[in-house]
Amino acid sequence: MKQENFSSLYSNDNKIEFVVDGFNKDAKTTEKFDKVKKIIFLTFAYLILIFLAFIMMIPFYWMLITSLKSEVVNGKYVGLSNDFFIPFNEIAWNNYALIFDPSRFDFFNYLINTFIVLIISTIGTLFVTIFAAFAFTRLQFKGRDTTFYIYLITMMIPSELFVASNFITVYRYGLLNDRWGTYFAIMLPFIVNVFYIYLLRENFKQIPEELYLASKVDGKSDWKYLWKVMVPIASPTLITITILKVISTWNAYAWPKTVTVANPEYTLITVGIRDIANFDSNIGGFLFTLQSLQMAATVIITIPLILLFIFFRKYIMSGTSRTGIKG
Amino acid sequence: MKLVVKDLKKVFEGNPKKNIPDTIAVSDFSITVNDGELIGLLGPSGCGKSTILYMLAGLKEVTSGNIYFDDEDITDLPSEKRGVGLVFQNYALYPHLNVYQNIAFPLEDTYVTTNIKDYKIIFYKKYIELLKEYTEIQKIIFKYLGSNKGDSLEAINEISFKYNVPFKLSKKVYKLLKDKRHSYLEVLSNIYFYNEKIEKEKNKLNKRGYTIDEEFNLLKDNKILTKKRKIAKDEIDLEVLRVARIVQLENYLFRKPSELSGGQQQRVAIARALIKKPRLLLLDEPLSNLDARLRISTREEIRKIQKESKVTTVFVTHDQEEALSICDRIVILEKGKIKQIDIPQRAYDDPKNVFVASFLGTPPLNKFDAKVIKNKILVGNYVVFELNNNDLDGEEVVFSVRPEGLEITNDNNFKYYLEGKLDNYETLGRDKELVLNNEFNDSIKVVFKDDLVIDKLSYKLYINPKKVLLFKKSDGERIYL
Amino acid sequence: MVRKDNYKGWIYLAPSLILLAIFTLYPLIDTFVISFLKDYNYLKGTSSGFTLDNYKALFGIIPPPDYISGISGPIKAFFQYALPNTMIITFVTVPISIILALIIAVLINSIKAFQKFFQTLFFTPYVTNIIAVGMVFGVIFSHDGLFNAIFNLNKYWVESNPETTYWNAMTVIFLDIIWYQLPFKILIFVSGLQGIDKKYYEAAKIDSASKFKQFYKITVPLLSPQILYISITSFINGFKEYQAIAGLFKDRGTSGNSYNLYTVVYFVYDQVNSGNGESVRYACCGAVVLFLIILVFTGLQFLISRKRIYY
Repeated sequence: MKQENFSSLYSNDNKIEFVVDGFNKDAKTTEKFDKVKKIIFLTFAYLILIFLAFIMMIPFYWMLITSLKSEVVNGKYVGLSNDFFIPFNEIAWNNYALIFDPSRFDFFNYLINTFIVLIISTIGTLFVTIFAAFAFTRLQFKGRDTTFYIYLITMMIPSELFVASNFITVYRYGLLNDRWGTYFAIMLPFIVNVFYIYLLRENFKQIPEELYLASKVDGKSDWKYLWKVMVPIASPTLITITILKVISTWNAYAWPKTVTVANPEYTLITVGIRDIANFDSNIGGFLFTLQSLQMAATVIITIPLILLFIFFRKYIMSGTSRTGIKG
Repeated sequence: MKLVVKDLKKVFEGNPKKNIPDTIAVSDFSITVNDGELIGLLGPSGCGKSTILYMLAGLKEVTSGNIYFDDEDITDLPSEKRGVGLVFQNYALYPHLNVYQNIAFPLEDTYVTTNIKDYKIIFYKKYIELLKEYTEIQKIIFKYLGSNKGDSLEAINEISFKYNVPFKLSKKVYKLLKDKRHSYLEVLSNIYFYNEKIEKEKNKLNKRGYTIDEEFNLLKDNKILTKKRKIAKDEIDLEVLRVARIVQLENYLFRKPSELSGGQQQRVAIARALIKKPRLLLLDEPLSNLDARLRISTREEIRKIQKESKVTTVFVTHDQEEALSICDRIVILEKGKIKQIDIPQRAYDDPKNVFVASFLGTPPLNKFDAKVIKNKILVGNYVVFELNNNDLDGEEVVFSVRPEGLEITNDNNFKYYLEGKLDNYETLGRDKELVLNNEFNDSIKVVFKDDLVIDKLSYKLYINPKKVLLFKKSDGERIYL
Repeated sequence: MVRKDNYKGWIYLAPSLILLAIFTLYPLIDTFVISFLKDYNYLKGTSSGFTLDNYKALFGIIPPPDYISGISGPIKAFFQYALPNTMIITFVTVPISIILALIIAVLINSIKAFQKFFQTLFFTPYVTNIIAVGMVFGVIFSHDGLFNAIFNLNKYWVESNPETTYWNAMTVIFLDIIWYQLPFKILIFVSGLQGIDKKYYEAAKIDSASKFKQFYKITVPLLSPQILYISITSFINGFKEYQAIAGLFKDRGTSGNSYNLYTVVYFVYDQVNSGNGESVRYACCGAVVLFLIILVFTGLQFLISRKRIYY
């Protein structure tokens, strides 16, 4: 566009007038051109996004549809079809009945294990986080800032560094011998999450100092102030922390697996589905791994997560995106 | 309550490592505030007035000196045990609590020692009393009924305020009376039923050896029993009703602070400070977040509330007009030191030093460096004043005149004048202000009421000797004429 | 009153401090110590002095002691497979996923209608379970699976089968990891993009800069804090890769007794899980190596980024 301006500038004697004129003309065509360009760009943007979204969603869809397909027909293994749709009357609801069969996969046992660990560790994490964030914001004591930096530094260390030593610790203290000991062995190393403490501290710091002074004058102790003012005001952040903690416990695999190697019946659901569930079926003397059953199992552990996501999308996304703010 | 402060001092420790010296925020602060008095701490920002207030509240530690509430030394008592009410500049309302909960907050979980009363009987009696008023109450209920979903809350609120009863009780009455059809019979049977209940309760107590006097106190062997206990929800209700009435927030109890105007938030903060019946009420620049019009009405309201509740009050402000208009006495501070304690008019008319004189009054005092030669005061070459004697001969002084003490018109009886060039002209509503300059002062302010045609660049400013104030140049102390 | 709450502060900190001390600070030292212990056996709690032999065995310089012959394969596998695999996985998946995420984020940011919808859709995989995702990818890439069917291929990708080649398996691992890692990155980039002041783009429009130029001259520099953050965390996560492979394959290799899909963290967990008191010291060595790699890479990124970050 600039070039056009220049060329017309040279081709005409009445320079100034033409430049003004030409500029106007150019501005109009540019505007039109821009609009067309914008429409083309947007069309492409939507097409690409739809295509990529489709790819992102395929695994979910494939999981669901496969879980409803039948691999065994009339006592014969026929394998999985790759059809994208199945007629309603051919849906193999039976897969879900099979997967809940305790001899294949003791779903409720693992679910109870997971729930116990989930509830205790979430409550534990909330209390520990609230206390620590409170100490780091409201209380004045020597070494406070240094301690906080030490906390932050531990966030940088990969947790895999601790696995071997922590395993020895929980083994030595006999936690792996019984049910409740195993639960605590699963929970304890992950009760403290420095990121949550950081998140809550940021939130606590935004509460004006005057509210604290006001509650002092109103005759309230630090303890009362924490529970009656700070915690209610920071409740959105606490909800975020709760949900993130629930998701991470539900998805926990490597550590629970490690501490339940000797007692697999105490393990959590994700470990159960990968390592313990039996998807094999003896069909005509041959052993087949039924993928439809596998997918039924993954659907079962994915649904609660998707539900959580649907109901608490705002909290999950805000909590996750805040990790990036610091840069 | 009488507040006595003796030699209060506050030093903020510096940091020798970073070369930050100690700062003395307050020193030699002594004052006696009488019971029910409203005293204003007035001074420019950084003069230590808020620090004093926070020390009185127990929110800042005292470096040295003592604070007495009546005869009790409370210097080291923590804030939560002092029983003071504090209204913050930005109100500091709890954002997650509604107005009721904000006001009730100081009473929650507090312990009181009271006579043991039979609260069941009190409740039943009140209930029966309310039921006897049932036609009136039904009028209130039907006034709100059907308007929107908040109507029940509003009706309950009005019943509580009108009959001074806890919300639990008005809710109960509301439930009974909201149905018009068979209410009369219901009322009668309820009255009968609850009278029965009272009798039963009395019998039960008598069997266990207790009696009840006319104020429902529980007696054993004719002795009133007392007990330390947590304050009850119903009692909190009544206290909230009491202070909400004082600050006129009757119709806003169930709103969140964010739904209130600045003035209303302010009143919530005052109500919260008052509910504990504080021994001392502290107000930290309570008007500075309000707009000009609201400020004037609110400050009068504060005065009214203070007079009604008769609570000893300390009011901190940098706005002299506020302090002068509502305080019984004002304390003028500069750099942490008291410059003058006086009733407002006297502080203005009879300032003890140049700081007080120039701090009070709008527009401010016009000051000129001057010299006394024999009995004449000279500003430059202008003789501006004549003294009665030669005592001050040779002294360097600050010669000052209030803006209204300089007159421009020629028809006056004043002998001495200064000259000034016109800079600016302002209308201050009723009055007019001229700003002039000369070689001794580059901003001389003159106020006058009559219509004057501004047609010259230079004016003679005639000095009214009655409005002249003279100060020592060395320490700013007043020289009385 | 602003008092010093010395003891009070520590009381409130105590729960987190005690747990951190036991499960983070102590292991930090313990792991380093164990990695240098000679013949350490956690079941017996015995050892005989300090040595470098553990690391030597790990890097295949000397064979591990005979009496733990049962695990001698995996220990050599650390240097043979785990370390190279970890590097390959990281250096393939991290750049691809960052670039893809950046493109998707810019596209999401440039549209108005359905923006929230796409934002949510692309975030969904974040909350799912990497193990479950691995199992789904396993089905999609099975020999009779969707992928072969769509592209009309007859390849073995994930089965424990002689025809499953190393690179086939790695390809699926790449795709699985990229798919799982995208949502977080997209979210961070989109929220970063939404924080960029519109006036920069308006200024660019006046200068009639092209869309590509805008992206390269404005978006990337202004997004550099997020890009740095994402690249650091992705590299760390890449080096820690384990669960994606555990989800995809039941074994550590493409065929029955091979270890060619080992990663560093896989190795660490495997040695801890083995139940053999002797092998834990190799897990510690592996963890220390991982720690050092992460330390070096994070440090390097900070050094490189110092000149290129525009806050």
